[in-house]
Amino acid sequence: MATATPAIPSGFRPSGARLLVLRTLPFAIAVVAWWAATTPWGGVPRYVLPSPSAVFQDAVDLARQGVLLDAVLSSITRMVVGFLVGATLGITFGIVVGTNRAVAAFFMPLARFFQAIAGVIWIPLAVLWLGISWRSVTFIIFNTVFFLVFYNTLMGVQTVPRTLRNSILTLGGSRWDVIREVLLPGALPSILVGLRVGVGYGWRSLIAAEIIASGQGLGVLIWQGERFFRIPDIVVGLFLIGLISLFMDRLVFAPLQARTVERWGTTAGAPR
Amino acid sequence: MAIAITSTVLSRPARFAARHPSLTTILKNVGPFVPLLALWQVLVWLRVSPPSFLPAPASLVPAFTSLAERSNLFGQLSLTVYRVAAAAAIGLGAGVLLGAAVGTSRTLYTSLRGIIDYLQAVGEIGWLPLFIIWSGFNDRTIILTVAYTIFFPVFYGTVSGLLTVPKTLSDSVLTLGGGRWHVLREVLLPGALPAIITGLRVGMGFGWRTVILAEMLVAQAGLGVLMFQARSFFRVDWVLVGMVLSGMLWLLTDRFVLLPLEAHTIQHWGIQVVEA
Repeated sequence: MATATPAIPSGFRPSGARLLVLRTLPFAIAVVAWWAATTPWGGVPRYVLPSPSAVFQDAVDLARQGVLLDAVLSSITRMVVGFLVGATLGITFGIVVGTNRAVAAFFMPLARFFQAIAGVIWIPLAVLWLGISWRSVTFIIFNTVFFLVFYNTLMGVQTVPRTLRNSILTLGGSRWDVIREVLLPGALPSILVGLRVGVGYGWRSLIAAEIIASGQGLGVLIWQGERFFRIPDIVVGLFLIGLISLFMDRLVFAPLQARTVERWGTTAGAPR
Repeated sequence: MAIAITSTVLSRPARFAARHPSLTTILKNVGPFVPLLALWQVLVWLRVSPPSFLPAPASLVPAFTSLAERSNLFGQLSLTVYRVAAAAAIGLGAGVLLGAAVGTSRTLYTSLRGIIDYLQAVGEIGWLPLFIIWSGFNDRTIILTVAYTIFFPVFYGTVSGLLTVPKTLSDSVLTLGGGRWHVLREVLLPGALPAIITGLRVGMGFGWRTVILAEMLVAQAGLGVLMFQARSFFRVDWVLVGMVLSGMLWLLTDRFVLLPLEAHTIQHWGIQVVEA
């Protein structure tokens, strides 16, 4: 469900300037309310909520010191590594389990249990076994992403009509042909949903893992902000965490998803 | 839709079988763990790492009893369950209310989606430090954080549920002289209910993880605290016991509360679209 919000039904789409106003209005109201609250009339003290200008100044300072770039780069690097490993294994396992009954019988009960504890629940054990390091953080991301991609791939493979598989086999194709020509394209829309959700939740577990199991990254920035009462740091971190997550989703996965669903998908959007 | 949840309406015998699992079903589900445990035991025998680092599988039983004696285990578990339940109530209420508003109004749909997507992207962990500063190291902070997690799947579930209710159904109520309120109460909300409950189930799956995490960072008691303290005592066995407990607790909740609820809702309210 996560990031895959329902498609806008046709006829639900106001145009041009009105659209722009409607879309930006809530953000504008939020910023004005924030600013108003922190003025002397609003009366919210600085140690509860710093003003927009204080946060902006802090962001500039952090960027000048290079703190911001370091944090963002180290977070993104770990994210990419953990995500690639988790996604690759998730797709592979999804296809193998989806095409092989014996493997499914063995793997599914294990998957059900380990999915129940996937992600941040591993943090204490990861810290003990892998230490306070990038390895723990990457492991947690991998662990989160793997199950989301695995289950969605499996679902995609299972919903490909059996007749399509059988027809390739009847025409003399091999198992590999079935995977390459039928299962992968057929499951692709579902795999992409898995990847998209995986990025969203993997990114969050990265922030969580960084707070406990690492010395750097955006998670550390916001957590030290709490520890040392540097509240503007927290707000800067919070903005960046949301923006990066949204960028990954909108600039990489949404277009990819739109393109593949158009090409190979069987269903798209909500009817109306 | 996005997360692999397959909810099928079971026939009567299938439901009976689900409620009274046979010996073979149990064996099928437990069987795969045997080679896993055997592998683990072999690694322990090979002394891959010291026993304090890699305790033997069988040693988890005494670890469980010692943990239960040391710390009021039942009390800690119920505290965690209470926090999730409270957060689920808040997340469900807020998600359905806002979802109903956004799913039925064009203007709200267009204007609020952006900011809600953004808030979802920030995630509960991004807010946690601020929640702590605003509300302190207490239950309220934890419940708020978990409710934040649960809210979004419920919200998106409600919106997509409302949008996929066939328009003919609402139109027929309008044609028969019903008002907007009737449409909402008689058609839209019941029609969206299965999607709402699925959203709740997905949300609680993630919320269960969030509560453990938030407890590690915020609380003085609870399952997450237990695991986090075990980590600082270097008790790998206690950490493992905590993980197994948290997995089993979630599987039981899902299996005996959420899954039946979802199946029941789909059976009663699920719409089968028969397009002419």
